[in-house]
Amino acid sequence: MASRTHGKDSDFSFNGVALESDLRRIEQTVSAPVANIPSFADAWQNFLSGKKNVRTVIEGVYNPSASQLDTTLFARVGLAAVSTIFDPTGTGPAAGAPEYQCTASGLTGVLIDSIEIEIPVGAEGRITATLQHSGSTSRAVA
Amino acid sequence: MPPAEITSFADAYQNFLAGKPGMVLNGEGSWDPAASQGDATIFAALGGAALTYDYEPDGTTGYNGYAFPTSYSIRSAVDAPISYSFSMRHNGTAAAADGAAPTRA
Repeated sequence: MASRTHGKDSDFSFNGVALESDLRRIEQTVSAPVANIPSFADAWQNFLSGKKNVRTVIEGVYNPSASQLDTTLFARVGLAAVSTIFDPTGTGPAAGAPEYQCTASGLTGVLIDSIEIEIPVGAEGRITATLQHSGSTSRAVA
Repeated sequence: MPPAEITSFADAYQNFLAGKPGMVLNGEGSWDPAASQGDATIFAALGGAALTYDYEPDGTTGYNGYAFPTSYSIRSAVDAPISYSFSMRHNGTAAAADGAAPTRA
């Protein structure tokens, strides 16, 4: 029987700042685009695997306080890549509790792709950021 | 199966010719971080060579061959179980990239 994990304890840090006190949704997507290589002799399409790309979307409540989500993200717009850690269980890294780590070094790290702030008159303020990982992201279990 | 359009001025409707078929497998479920389960297995396969798959809709008969994952998402929300989704592309039957159809067995 496969295990199930609730998302209530997830952690996310950006440039060393823990943001989970403001966040309520994290989605990390890894894509591996393929190159189409079929020849006339092939009955079906053929492909070669390309380079991996990682993007993370984080969403939370708008909090303008120092060292919180808005300040932390906005300060890095257009600047060099920083480190991020996505810990889905909130207990990693450990066996059965992986952390996804993108550590800033050279060209590797995470860049701000976009930040969107919504302040609807009938609801809480929200902030959503799309983060572009540059270089490798590792799955750490220790 | 990407069709090639061959519509002429004389046609009332669009016309197409069939191209080489392909197959994509999409799945989603509860995220399981344990070793040898979905998260560890799929993440390790991203960007690599095609691996074997076996998809049996009824648990008995299905499709098999080689495929590689082309995308993998983990969704963590404060009010829901952690979930994941993936997309895989068929890429061979007896061997990776052999240009053959999935086996239906």
